Amino acid sequence: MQAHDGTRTPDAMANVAPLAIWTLAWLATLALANFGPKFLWDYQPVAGWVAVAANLVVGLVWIVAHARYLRGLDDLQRKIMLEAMAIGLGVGVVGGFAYAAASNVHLIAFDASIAIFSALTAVVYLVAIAAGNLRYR
Amino acid sequence: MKNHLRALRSQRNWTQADLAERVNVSRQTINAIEKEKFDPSLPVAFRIAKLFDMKIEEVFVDEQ
Repeated sequence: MQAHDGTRTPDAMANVAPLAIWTLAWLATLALANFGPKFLWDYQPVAGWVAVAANLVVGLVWIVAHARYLRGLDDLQRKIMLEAMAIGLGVGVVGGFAYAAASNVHLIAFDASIAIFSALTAVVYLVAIAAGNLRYR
Repeated sequence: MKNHLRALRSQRNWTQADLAERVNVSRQTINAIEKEKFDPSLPVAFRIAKLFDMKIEEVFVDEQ
């Protein structure tokens, strides 16, 4: 069975659910590592390290799930993903270093946060995937 | 790259989705190849040629 919009093969469709599950699991462990100390275990170091380790382990599995998803894609989808990654990473790095430079010479009042550039990279990546799909529709 | 994919597919009354399933690629990929927006990899080109019982150069036309 193809995806409803015909953009993915059955192999790729089979890898969507594991990727979605591990993405959500990574986000959940990230939230736990960030908010657990304040709301759940009152900044106890052992619990904090366990949460960070869980986040790292789930993150590694998420990376493997993503790689498996990419391997399951057909030629065109892989090309779209590659171009989207190049654009996403490029915007994140260029934007991030420009922002950091502006921050270092006090052109910007507040410090740059790595989370902002991770989010920017992710948003640009998703937009570039959508644009690639439109281009080859 | 020019190709005869649409004509070959039409001769067999296959939809793009039918052909995509037989070649194990997405319908989007078949559409992009037919519109000459995208050149398939060698393994996909071989699978397409084999499906139509033809040589690669009979399906895909080298313009260079």
